Amino acid sequence: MDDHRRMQILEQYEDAALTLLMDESAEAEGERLLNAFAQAQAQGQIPTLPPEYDEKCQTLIDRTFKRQAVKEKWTRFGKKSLRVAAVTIAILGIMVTAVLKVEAIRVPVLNYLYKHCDRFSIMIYPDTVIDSIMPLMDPFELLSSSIPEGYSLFQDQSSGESDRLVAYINDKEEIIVLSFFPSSGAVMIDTENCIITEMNINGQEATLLEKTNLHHFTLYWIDVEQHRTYYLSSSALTKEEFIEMAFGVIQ
Amino acid sequence: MGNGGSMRKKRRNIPVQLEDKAFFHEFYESNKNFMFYIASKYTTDPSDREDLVQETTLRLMGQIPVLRELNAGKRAKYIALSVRSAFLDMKRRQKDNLLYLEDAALEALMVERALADAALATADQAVDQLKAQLPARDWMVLEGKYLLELSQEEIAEQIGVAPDSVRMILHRAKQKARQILQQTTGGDV
Repeated sequence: MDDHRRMQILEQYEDAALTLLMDESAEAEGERLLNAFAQAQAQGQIPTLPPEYDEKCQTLIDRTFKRQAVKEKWTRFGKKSLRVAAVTIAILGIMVTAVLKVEAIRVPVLNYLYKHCDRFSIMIYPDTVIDSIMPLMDPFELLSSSIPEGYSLFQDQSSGESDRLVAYINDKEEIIVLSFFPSSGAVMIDTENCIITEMNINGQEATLLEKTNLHHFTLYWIDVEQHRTYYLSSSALTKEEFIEMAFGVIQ
Repeated sequence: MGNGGSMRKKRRNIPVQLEDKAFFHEFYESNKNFMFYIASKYTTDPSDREDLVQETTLRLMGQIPVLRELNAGKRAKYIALSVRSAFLDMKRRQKDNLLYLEDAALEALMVERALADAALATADQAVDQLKAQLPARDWMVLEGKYLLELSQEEIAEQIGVAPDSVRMILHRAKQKARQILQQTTGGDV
């Protein structure tokens, strides 16, 4: 055995010996203290713990354990909430994946959503107007002669053949707009807060939207040949004036 | 001396288990007067005594697993050591200067000696000799290491030195203890 190892073992031995020695000493000393306390108590030399100290210590003990109880309660609640959240997220994840991946689930879910969104939209299908296909005259040219008196051209902007917007304005800054946008299939229109009326204007099927929460009319129609969806809107004219104007624009 | 019971009271998070509540209530009831008796030996100022008792209660609450394992004698010694430790902390806070710790530690040990002198038994003369001859700081390091099983950092905090110094102090204390015990018992430790 080398010196280093010997020193190590000696140190361990001393540590163990001192531990045992002091442990025995502690017990003996504690008993001496208790004996001294008992003797002093018997001789009436010991003041008892004042009630106010005692009360404060009792309160301290109760408060500490109560704090621990609250802490454990919140820890349990937190763990439970985490578990619920994890399970919820897992279920949502599975559901979303199933909806997106599995056609047998995706189609009914989307149909359900469409049905509920139906309150705020309608679909205008070009097929429904197939019987009334006829070449339409340029509505923008017709608008200039159909526009009520007092209105003058305010804006005319276009991006080539893909869209165009024309706006007329009067002295009261009331605007009438005619525009189109390209469309080759069904068109979804926002119908929230609207009264919807299907109309036939000079043989062209059109959809009139009348806002219920403000004075505003919009008329949509599809030019199937041109692959365009037109809309005419005004917030100044009466319904009758608006429809009369529409009859002048759609020919 | 004493600052009207306004020893800085920080809200401390004492780790307890709810199932220990009944045990500690019983422990406190059984030992509160003994705790007060020990605290009275360290200070006569009522507000300081109150702080000592409360502080000791808090410390003991954090050591319930240890208390459960101790018999009556060791428990009494543990309570006495806790009161001493609380007293030293209180002194340190009042004086706010670690240089005074030696005086406070000596004061604490003298109180213990006075308590021990009041007893009848004369056992453990070897350890008594050790305690009498070792510097207060060295004795506290030995107690911290072998009796309370404190870490180096905890011992350092108690005696008011840097943690790195504890190892050196412990080594020297053990050397001195070996010499004293050899003289007292006439043999090895």
